[in-house]
Amino acid sequence: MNTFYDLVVVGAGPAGSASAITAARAGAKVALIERGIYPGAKNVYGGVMYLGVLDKIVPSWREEIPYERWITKRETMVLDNSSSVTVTYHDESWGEPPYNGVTCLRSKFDSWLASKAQLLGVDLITSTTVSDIQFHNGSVKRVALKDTPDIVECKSVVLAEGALSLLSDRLGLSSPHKNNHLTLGVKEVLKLDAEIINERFNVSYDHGVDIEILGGLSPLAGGAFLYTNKDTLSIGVIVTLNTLKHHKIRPEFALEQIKAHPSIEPLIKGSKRTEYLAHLIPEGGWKDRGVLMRKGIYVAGEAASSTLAAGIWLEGVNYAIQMGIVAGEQAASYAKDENPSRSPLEYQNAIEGSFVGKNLKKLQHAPDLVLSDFVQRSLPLILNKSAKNILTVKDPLPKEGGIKAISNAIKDARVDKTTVLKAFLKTLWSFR
Amino acid sequence: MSNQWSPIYEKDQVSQELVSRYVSMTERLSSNTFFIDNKPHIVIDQDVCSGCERKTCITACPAELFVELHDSSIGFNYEYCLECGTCLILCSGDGALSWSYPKDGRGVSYLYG
Repeated sequence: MNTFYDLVVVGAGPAGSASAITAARAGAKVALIERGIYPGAKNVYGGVMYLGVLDKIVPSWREEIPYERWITKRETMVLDNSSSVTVTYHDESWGEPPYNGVTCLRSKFDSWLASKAQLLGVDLITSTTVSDIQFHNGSVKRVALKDTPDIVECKSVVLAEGALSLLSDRLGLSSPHKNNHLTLGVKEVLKLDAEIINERFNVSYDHGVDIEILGGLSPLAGGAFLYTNKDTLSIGVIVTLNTLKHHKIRPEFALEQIKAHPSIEPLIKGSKRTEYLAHLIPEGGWKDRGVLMRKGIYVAGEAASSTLAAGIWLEGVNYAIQMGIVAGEQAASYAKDENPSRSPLEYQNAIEGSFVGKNLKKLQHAPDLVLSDFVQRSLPLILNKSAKNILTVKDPLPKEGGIKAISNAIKDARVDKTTVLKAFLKTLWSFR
Repeated sequence: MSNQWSPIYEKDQVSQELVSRYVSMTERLSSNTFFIDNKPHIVIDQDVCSGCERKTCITACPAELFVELHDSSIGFNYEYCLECGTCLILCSGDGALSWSYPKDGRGVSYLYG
């Protein structure tokens, strides 16, 4: 194994591979170190990838990615005990280039993106766990590998180690509040024939559906998702660690609960579990980004809380890729400098100026709102009861009218109108 | 079936219907791929765990790797760990868990992440 590099990238997920690709293009000698047997072996995601950001580094991605389905239907489903209100946006043009969202399996997608780095001369080193980063005279000197005497010398490091960021924590780069905003995602992948998926979800060929689910998890706070792959369904719940700790409810109980809801059960009927997965998600967003750069170390991806968890927008892979691109550029130029006197803020400013920083900053209050008691408990009740009041025909009683129906629903949900008004204004503010 | 759906928790008890649908963790994990390390990547300190009042790890671990034993110590298996880190974040006992990632590509290997 080669033991001297300009740049060592820790983690061959989307952020890591994007940084390796960018740095290699800038002429750096790069090692991409992954602890799994293949890139994607340790990765889990819960939804949809929006990959327009790949135009910068792999312009041919639309013809090449190992995709499952192009998402043409986006549904938001709000659950109450035996009912649900669903809003669907169906756009057939999303099934054609340039596309919008796509579902992939990480074992295939992450391996594909890492292979793009390999084609540029990056050394991909799998089954290898980085255990430490060492410094000399205040600059990065080498990384140590777990349970071996081996070291890899390098001039800079991109830390794209994922949500559970053990190295960033140890180096004091993580935000001290990050742990308060972690959620646990548990997911099952269910095998179901492609034809049955097409019929059941009313899609054709390689088009698919993404359903984001609110409600049905009480007393836990969080959400759920169901989306279609080629011949599997991915279904999962995302719950806050704080409520998991407080209520002592097993996470897979919450998942079973969602799977058994009368609005969900018919969609997954007859499928067979092929995998059960769990992963942490940093939902703190911009506030929890931590120290992004220090002495030649650049933190990118979920280690830097790159996920956007803002209710109607749930994105992560695109933000990780963008952070990786910027980290790769800067790490390569840092490694080339004989006398690095660059400001640690340069990287942060570049992230801040990109869509990552702009979106995460603009929506920085949205994650708290989504997890608030009103959105978690009251909103599902009010929406479902309003729909029931309006749509149930109660002859011979006269119709109560829309406004009365909603105001009765609010009363039934035991929320006072000031709370609703406040929540409404807060929503407008958070999503402005 | 459809009329019987009820919230996870009712009057502080897990709903009976949910219990009836319960599949064992062994079955839930049976189609996962694991390359088991010969050395545990998580080590627990029984001295701390025995005295822990909350024992959050028991219910929070999504792979149900922690159990409370008769002497209120913790029984623990690392073999089928999903490597999520929930136990590490939620553990309130100082230094009770020594947590690192497995080496040599060992541990869980997801195909459908």
